[in-house]
Amino acid sequence: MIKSLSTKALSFTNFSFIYGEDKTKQPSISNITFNLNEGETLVLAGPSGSGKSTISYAINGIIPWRQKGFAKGEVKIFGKNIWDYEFSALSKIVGLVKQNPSEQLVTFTVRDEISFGLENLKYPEDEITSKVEQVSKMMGITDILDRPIEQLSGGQKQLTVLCSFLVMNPKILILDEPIAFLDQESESFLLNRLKKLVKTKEIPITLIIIEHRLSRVLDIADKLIILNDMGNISLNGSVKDVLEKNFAQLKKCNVRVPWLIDVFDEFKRKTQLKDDFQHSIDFHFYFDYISKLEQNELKIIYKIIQSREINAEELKKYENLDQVIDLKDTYIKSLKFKKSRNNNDEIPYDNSNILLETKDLCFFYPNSGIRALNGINLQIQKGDFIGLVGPNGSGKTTLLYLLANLYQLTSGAIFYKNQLLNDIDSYEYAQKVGFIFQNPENMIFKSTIKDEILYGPKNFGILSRIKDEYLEKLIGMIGKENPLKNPYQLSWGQKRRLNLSSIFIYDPDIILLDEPFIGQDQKTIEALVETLYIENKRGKTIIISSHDYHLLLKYTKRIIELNKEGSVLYYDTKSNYFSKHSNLGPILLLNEINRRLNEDFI
Amino acid sequence: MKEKNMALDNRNNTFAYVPGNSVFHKLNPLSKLIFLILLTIFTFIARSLILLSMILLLIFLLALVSEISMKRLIRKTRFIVVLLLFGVILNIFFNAIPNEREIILFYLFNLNFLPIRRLAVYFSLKALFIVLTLYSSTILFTNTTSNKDFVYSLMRLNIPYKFCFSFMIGIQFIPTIEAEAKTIALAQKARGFGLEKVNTFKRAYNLIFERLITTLVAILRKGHTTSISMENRCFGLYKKRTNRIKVKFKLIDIVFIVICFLVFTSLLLYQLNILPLPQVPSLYQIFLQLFKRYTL
Repeated sequence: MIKSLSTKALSFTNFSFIYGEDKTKQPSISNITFNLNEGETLVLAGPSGSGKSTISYAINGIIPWRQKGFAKGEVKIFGKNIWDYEFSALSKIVGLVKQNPSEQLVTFTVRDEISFGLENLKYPEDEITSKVEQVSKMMGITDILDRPIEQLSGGQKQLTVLCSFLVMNPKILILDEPIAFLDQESESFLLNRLKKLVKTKEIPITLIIIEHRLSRVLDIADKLIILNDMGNISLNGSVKDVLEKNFAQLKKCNVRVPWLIDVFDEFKRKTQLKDDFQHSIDFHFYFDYISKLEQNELKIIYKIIQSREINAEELKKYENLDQVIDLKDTYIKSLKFKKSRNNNDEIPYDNSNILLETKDLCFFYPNSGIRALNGINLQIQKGDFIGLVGPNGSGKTTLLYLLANLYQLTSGAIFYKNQLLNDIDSYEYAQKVGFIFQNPENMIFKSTIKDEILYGPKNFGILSRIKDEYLEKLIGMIGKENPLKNPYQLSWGQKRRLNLSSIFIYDPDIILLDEPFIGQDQKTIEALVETLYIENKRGKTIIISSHDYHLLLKYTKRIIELNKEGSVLYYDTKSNYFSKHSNLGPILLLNEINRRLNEDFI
Repeated sequence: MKEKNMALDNRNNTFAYVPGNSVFHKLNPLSKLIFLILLTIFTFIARSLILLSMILLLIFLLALVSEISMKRLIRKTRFIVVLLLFGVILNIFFNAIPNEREIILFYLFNLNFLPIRRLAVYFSLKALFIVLTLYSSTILFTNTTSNKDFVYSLMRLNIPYKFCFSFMIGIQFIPTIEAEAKTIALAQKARGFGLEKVNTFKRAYNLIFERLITTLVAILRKGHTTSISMENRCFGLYKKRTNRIKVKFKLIDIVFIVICFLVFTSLLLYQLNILPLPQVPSLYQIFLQLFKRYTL
């Protein structure tokens, strides 16, 4: 009853938008229709390039005032058409927090940053002071108010940006992938504060969160909208409805569904559970739920968790590369012609098999004395698949740079096949290592896709050895694109695949990836993981750094964990890592099931 | 091999602010700016090399008081000295005034070969002192003045805040641009560029058409986000904005400015021979005396 009375904060009716001056172009969003009531929280998800940001621009006035293009349909904010608003009026009621906090901070201290908007609005000084105090108290950052921006952690920075909008008392706040650049610790720090803000409703605010890792934000959301590649809405409804009735459809969308719900959904299908079982976002709900299950059901769920979360069974289909040809993905097809090597999941330690070895590796930033890495001793086996984890600033990127011979180490030594790295010609070594950088655009130097892929071979002087057939296949991996197309015109996910093609062309032994998942949608991430899995099966050694624990734990064979001091905290096989970290979600659940099974047995 | 890491040296930024607690740190940026302007005017007016060297000494003394490490300052000015000494030598040899009447100090070789002329030495040394004075005083200014204070004091001068902010954000963007350019250079290197000797033409082509464009795209994207974020917080909405931070003019500033003006005027009067004080002997006179003693 209350809902019907509440005012509509936002309503889109058949809204479409085409960027630029060409009317015939594919619209970036089309026929968007949805309503959002005041005080509700909406989670907006979808693949990259599906128009999530376009929707946010249409709400905060960038469209139509700052962006050229063609708009159709209408957008109403609090019942008033956006065309009837001034840009300045909209920026007073709509706030937009973007992905990367460092790109949004413009002043020197936290206090300056939070006051920034109010100063622009010519508020008197004492009012600014009291408002800043109020917001910072509410969000729990009073202790860092006078700290310089550069001393903040990622989470604190993002929270500062958030506060700088909250203090202006916006009616609608859009958070565009606010946790994409944050590490585990910062992420939960920010999300906890956000949840508190939504639950206490100290500020009545309509929240729109753009995020494709649904598990992170679903518990504070009221509504869920999923966009598809064409910029249409493919799913729209309240979170409860979607989870209960449309979960199968949600899974088909290009988003990451919460693993718990995914596991129990499969369990539901396998055991043909009655309809009264309803999904929840709460971990404790499932924890209590398994206590009611019988032994055979417990065994089923144990198996599902094992196969989904621990062993990544879905990739086992690539075990036999001969079958791969049947799959639709063009890239996987392109790999078909290469022969697979037999390769067990966990390689036994064998001294002759060590590919890279570091001894007492230390790295200081020159002249500043800041120690990035501290006494790293690692032995990396040929054909291993390693996940590199650790908080921001723990030296993950530096370690990868050192292994790729891009930086010179301060002390210690790196051996490649028992040979000191310094003794190896850096030109030859560079051909053995493929490096994928965090930002796909940082690796694009040429004006056509073909030239871009051939950039490496050209530098290495092996152009004549590249077969046309192979080149075509690698171009095909990006999608059906003209080889003469400008790489900058590709979608974000395609750019990532182009990066891979331009490395695979010279067939490196070692592939190093630095945070490759940031800003990528679920489909691209899955394709990337599959690609790496197959490459690993073919004997490539892969080291991948990411703050996405969940992905790494699922797909890699071994984990290196660095701590804040830049030394190795763990270096172990995945199973050992799991046994040492019993507080991880899947492990907690598995242990509980085990305990229950044993209990019943007694 | 060490040069591989050279690009990582963030502290190498000569003009970066070094926090401190000295008198010079406490001064209002505007009073320091006035000092800098007066100093610049005077170095161009001053004729006596001895006077110029005394001013340079004064700057170094001020730097010492301002907690700037001498080692650092000398390290930063070293390359300028070397560069200018090279210029001094060139200036002496390729003197633009091949005037026979010009006093020849001595011959480099005893065979009337390579005459070293008085004016050539004078102009070269003067250039050295001027550049050194301006360079070290700028280091003194930037090392003791935070961007924040400087920008907010500019705003107090009623300079439009949009200019001040673009200036400030420009400065804050420098490390970001540097970091981005470094990553892009590494990405090129990882794919084999520049590991083997590349000719200058190719290197220039790479720098302009490959590295620069990639860097520009990255920076424009970042800049776009920054501008959206600022506009969303109503930046530029009104002609004026509240200036919460006020960089105050303290007593010490007034004293400092008065001293600056007094010293400047008296030095100026002295230089124009208006003050009834004996003139500082020129280096030439000292040279002659020394020479006489030597010949005697």
